[in-house]
Amino acid sequence: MAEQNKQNKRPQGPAHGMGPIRGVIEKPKDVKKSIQRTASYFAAYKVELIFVFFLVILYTLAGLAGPYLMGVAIDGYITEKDLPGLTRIALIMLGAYLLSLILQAIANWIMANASQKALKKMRTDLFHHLQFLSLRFFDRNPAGDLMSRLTNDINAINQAVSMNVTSL
Amino acid sequence: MKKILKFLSYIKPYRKQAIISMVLLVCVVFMDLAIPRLVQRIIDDGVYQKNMAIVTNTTLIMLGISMLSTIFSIANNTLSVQVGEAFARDLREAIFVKIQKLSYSNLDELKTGDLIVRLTSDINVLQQTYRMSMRIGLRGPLLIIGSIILMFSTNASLTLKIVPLLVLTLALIVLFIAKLGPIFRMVQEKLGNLNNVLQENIAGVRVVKAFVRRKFEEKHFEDVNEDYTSIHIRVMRYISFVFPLLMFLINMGVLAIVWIGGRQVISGTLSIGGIVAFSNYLMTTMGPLLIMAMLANIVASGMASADRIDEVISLVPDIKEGQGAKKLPKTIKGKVQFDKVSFFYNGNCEEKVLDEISLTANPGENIAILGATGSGKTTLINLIPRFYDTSEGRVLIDGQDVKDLEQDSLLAHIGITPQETILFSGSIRENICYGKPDASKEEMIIAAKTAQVHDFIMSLPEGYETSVSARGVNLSGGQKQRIAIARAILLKPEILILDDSTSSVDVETETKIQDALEELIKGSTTFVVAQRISTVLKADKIIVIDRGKLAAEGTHQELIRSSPIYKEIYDSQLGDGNQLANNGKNKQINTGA
Ligand SMILES: Nc1ncnc2c1ncn2[C@@H]1O[C@H](COP(=O)(O)OP(=O)(O)O)[C@@H](O)[C@H]1O
Ligand SMILES: [Mg+2]
Repeated sequence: MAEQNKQNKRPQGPAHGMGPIRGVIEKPKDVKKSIQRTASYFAAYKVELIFVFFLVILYTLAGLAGPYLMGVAIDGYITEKDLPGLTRIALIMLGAYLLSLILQAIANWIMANASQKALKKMRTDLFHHLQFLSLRFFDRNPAGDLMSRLTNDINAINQAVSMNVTSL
Repeated sequence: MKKILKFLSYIKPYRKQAIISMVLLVCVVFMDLAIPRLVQRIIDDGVYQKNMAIVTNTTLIMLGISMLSTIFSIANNTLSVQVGEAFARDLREAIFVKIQKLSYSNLDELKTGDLIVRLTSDINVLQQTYRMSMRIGLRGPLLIIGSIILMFSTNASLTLKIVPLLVLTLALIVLFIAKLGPIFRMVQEKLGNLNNVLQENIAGVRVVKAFVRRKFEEKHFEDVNEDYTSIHIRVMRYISFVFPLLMFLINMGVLAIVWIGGRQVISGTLSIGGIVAFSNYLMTTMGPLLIMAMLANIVASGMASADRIDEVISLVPDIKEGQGAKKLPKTIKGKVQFDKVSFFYNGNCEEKVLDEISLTANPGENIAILGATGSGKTTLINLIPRFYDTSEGRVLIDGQDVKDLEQDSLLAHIGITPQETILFSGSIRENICYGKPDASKEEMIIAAKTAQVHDFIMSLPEGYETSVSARGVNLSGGQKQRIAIARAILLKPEILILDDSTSSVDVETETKIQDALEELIKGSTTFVVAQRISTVLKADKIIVIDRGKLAAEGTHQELIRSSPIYKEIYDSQLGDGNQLANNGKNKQINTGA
């Protein structure tokens, strides 16, 4: 960087000498294998994932109880003008919502830890792998290109995983 | 937040698309607001009055509005993506141009990996912030305000009971932004560290392999990786609480409507359709709030990234042309003077790298610079093209302080081959003609012949069109150096600087280059930093730098007599000195200088 070439008196195209920044989305060569490989990183967190899976089912059910109970409240108590019943069902709704809140927070928390650790392992392995590639590989692939590939891809996987945690 | 608004100026050229996209959004909001009203009409006027016509009509209207709203949403989305991409492209270019303007000492402080993060990831984040703001930033508040008004007109007392809930939600979102902003900044910083290590390892892969430092580098990477992961987990933990909490607040609103509204229905002040419409409005109020929380998350990260981008954009090049900087004439004599020049690198005032150096190079003179590694040779010659400013003293070209000259007009007279040879990907021809793209073929060939690289190039199947891969990995060190020399002499500069640029070239070729150079650029003032004493024998003046001080100055004949330090270097390289006194060339040279 420090020894950057300053002989250039005529400003040239701005892309000169910099690794290409590619906006094109490349298709994975073997989708099945890519998915399998990605999945294998999460397999290490099987127990957590199964636990989260049950939590998700539970909180989804608790969440669904809300609208159902609301229907019950309207048809069964409000139209019947049953005040104590209405209060009772309101309390049940409160319980369902609270349960949903707690379960969801726990599930998210576990997922956050698991997914970030899986991503970390993925990066570590990637770096490890880089160390074993031949110099021929580095001759063929310009450093700038490799960098933009690695950083963009790490970013993309990160975003994909982070997004899905909340919208599981 | 200020920084986010600052970069809005980059959207200006795409104002039209941005505005159209906003207008579409406002239409979508109005249509969205109409839906609960229509639902209420179906229930109260249609279902309860058993009026089938109203049900069908209203349903059809709803369907039409939904479709139109979808189309508008898609158009809004497409436009905002276009604007976002154009914005990101312009901003990347602005940063690139900025980096080109920075001085060496600015660049010393930037790390490549971190810079790449700023150029890619940070710009992406900022782009996403704008795009999402355009898509939901306006829609959210509009929807919220609109549905509050409609709720109020449906049932004022019920609305007032829900207001505290809304305030609570808003407070939560604001808190969320405030808490998350600094953490997002750290996330980008840690990502920068991560990429620095990655960058260094990819660029330096040969060294890592040669020194079997894999384990060490992996440990290093593990550390920055762990940092990045743990900061990321911190963000995710916040998010994993905040969203369920917001959901819960919305549900509390529904509960309040059922319970409070139910009592009103029982006492006869509200209709059943009213309750349904009301909870629909609540959803249209709270739904956007939830999306706004997501936006908050994005805005917080956008703020962090905007700061980081701004740090590069607002870097002030510390080499500046003064007001009324003078242009050098088209041709200059090429006299270079150092007047009591002292120098230290960025802020490191104790350690003078150059200490009160004074010397004069007359036009056309050939100056050789000798000195141990780290003695300050490169630093000294970097002051001539004003890559750095002197800390004390002046550097003069034809009697004019370089600080008073226009940077471009100064550089137009200087050809330099930096110590580290850098070639760009492209053909050999493009590399040689880098400083003068319109050079004729003859000029190029003369330069290449002088640098003793023409024959090699012609031996390649594609000659001058042979492509050089990035950093010239497909060429040997000596070949690269000779191409770099050709690149510098093609400019026929009045001042030529060769910083150790024949270190990988064999002695015989080096001598040939020197002889050819002498022919080609007789009138040029030349500075040659050299390791081999054989290179300097014929110089008009030899300068010996020792730990930043001018230790000796003179011709070979003078120095061999008067300077012990020169004599020492001479003896260590050429053995017993007398052998060579009148015999210009010597082949049995110790090149391990
Ligand atoms: N960009 C820089 N930032 C800080 N210190 C530097 C920088 N470049 C060189 N130095 C220091 O300045 C001294 C002289 O370096 P340099 O001029 O490159 O020596 P030479 O070219 O004679 O080998 C060395 O001690 C080196 O550590
Ligand atoms: Mg040097």
